[in-house]
Amino acid sequence: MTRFRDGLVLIAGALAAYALLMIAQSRFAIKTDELAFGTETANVLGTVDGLIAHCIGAKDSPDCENAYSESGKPPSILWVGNSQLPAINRFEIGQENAPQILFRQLQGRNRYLITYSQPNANLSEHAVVINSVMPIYQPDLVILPVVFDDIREQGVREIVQDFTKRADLLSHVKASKSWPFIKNNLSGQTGAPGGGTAILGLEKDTLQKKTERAFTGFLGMHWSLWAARPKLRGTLSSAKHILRNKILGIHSYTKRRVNPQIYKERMALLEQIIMDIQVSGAQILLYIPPYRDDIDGPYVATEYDRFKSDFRALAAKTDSEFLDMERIVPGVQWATVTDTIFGFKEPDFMHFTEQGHIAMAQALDAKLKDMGY
Amino acid sequence: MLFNSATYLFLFLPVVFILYHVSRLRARQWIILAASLTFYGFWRIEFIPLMLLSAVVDYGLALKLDQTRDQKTRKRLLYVSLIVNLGILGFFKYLVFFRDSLWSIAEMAGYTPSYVDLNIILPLGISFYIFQTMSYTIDVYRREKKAESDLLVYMCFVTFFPQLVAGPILRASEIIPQLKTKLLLRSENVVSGIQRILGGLFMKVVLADSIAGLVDKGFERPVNMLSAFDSWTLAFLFGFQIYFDFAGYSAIAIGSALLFGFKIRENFNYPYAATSPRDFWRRWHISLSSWIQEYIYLPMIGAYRSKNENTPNRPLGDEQKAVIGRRRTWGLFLTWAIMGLWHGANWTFVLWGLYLAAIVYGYRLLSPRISLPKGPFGWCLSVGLTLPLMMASWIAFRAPSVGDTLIMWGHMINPMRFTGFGLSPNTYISAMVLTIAFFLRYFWVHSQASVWTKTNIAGVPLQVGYHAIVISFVFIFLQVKSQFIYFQF
Repeated sequence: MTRFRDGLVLIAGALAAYALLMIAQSRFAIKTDELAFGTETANVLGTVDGLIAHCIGAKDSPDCENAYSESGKPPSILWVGNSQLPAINRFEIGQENAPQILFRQLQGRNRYLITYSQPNANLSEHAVVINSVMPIYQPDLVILPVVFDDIREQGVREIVQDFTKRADLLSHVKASKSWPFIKNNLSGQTGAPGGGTAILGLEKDTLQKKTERAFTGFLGMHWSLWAARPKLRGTLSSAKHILRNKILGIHSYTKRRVNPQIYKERMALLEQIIMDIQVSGAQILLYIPPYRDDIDGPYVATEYDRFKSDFRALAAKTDSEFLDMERIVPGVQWATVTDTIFGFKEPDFMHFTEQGHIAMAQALDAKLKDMGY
Repeated sequence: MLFNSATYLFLFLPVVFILYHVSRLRARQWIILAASLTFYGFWRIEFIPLMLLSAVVDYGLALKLDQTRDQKTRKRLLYVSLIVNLGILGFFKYLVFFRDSLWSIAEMAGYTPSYVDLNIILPLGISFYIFQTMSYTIDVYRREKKAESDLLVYMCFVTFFPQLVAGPILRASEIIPQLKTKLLLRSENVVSGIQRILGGLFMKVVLADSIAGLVDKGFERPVNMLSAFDSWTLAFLFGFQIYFDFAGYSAIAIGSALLFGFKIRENFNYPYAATSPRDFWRRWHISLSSWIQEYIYLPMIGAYRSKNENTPNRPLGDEQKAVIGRRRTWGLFLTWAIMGLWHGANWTFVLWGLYLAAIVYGYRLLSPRISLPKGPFGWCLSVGLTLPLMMASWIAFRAPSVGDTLIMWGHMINPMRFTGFGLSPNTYISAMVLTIAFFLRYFWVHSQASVWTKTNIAGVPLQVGYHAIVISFVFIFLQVKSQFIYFQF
């Protein structure tokens, strides 16, 4: 009797799971962009006149590299940053973000703007991106914002770390002054003996890998529920994050202190990044990105003031150009984040409307003109 | 082949299951061997001959041992087996480690030895199948087991795919009789097997893989920047990661074997609910602890030769009281150092082993002198003392170097380091939630309510709901994101 019951319970559980998954697939699975930005903000990684000049990381970088080569490799400017660069709040078809607007401005002066941005990009990731792509584009100028909120993060995500899979780029990253600061942030570089991701010869394209790729590819093509799994994973992860914040009373405006030791180490890394850029012969423009000031935000005022002052001092010390854009985007142009799972609303301190992008592009353009670009 | 791959779960396992159950006994043995070699070959086909060589050598030597009466010759045959097995293990696993260690010493002494790059790949599961074949030869030498004359059955025993790459380490007496029997297809075995596989997958793909990112990030941070809270949190979190990873693997192995009717011994039993370090090793990687106990520790301290042979499997350090103190102590530390080295060719693992030996030794000294209260309070106190001690050991297992391990341990006991929180909030929350969830699960499994749910009709919706959630989560999270940690060993 027990074995009969156990079997039935298992079958009923499997059927209930199937029903649950079907409901989740049709009602709750949401797009990755929506998870990151909320429903009001769109991630616009558009092209300018058919040219792909804004990439995220290693995976799509060849598109940017090819577009640059096809354009005849004109004198270039490299802009790295976080999701503030591509995301447009209250987006409407035809609107453009700051990199697109600035691309056109510079194109008129025979300059080619290439942009790389990742959501929540931190300085370690900037160091990898800059040292990886500098030899490819050999830019005359690098535009580098430092977002105070991203200074607490140190890890290098796969989208960026994959640059180091290209042997030529890895050697350049390893030769950089930033390397001692970032090597521990790259997984597989620390040699942890008990590390969960250490693989014994599985880096090779084994039969296991090939079969799994082919089989899961086949499942994805012929079974919509299987294909929906990444979205469902994203939805679950986002739901977990939102619920955690609700339970703990964490909001987008909750004050987040920066660990003094991390801050010190990050500022030292920033100096090394600047030196890497200068050693390669490029000029550098550092800027403080726009920050919402109509409501009280997550930065601790004393820490943020100190950061701005240190940042400015570092620019002076390293002979870098500096631009403060903190207050160029008025409060009404900033976003609200509404998550697509529970519908909770939070003020956004990172993304703004097209008007904000225009303001940012104009401020940068004016500065670049002053610098002779 | 990886247990957490779609290839294994939806292609390999169903095909082998059907072929096995529609075949006669002899054909089944061939199917198991072919399936096992395919399973292993999915990693690297070129290492199959090495595994077969180790197996065949022991097969031949065991037959010879069985037939030989002269004790000297028998001893020589045993030595040949040990040299071949340990030679293979030594070359693939320890050559570079010992070379580098020797070179470091030479450099400290002022010599500058020239380096030759050695790129030796560690064959998957080598430590497991070598231990398995070695124990077989030793058992035959001790006349505790008759040598197996059927090469096919013997090869099935060595290569049996559910336990081939990461255990549980099986003894010939456990598995060979089952291989020689036509095991019936029983629905309770199939249901139970599927449940074990689902449970194991949940532990691996939902829990262990989710924690892995937080652990990796934590250990990537410069060690000097970690506070005591950070170090303790990382110790607990990695403790749960490795537990879910390895216990998950073992559950899938046991479940897979059960689909074919094979009963494999349990490898884990809620280790973090242990009330003492000894108790912990009765609950963690049980097949390895009992192997080491039986084939290394007891012979080393002379307990085996003292003819007290009717010893059940007991954890390391739990031998007869009659064995004299100093030899026991040296044996304990040496065995644990070997246990550490078995896990990996790195001094951090030796440090891990020595730390555990010190813990067991300390417990051995203190436990007769201190009596803890009985009942729930005493249980809580014992677990509360044991848990952090065992969790702290994982620092040595995971940290990149001995230096980092010592620094982190230093921070953990330094009152001045209980200052701040430098990791992401999710790291602390995960460690706390998992600790609570582990004990809730432990109490639930050992409660009357759990029995009631399984026997009462009113418990059916609860069980269906539980299965629905487990299956849904496994389906969503199933992906080859990372290796099983114990594949490295």
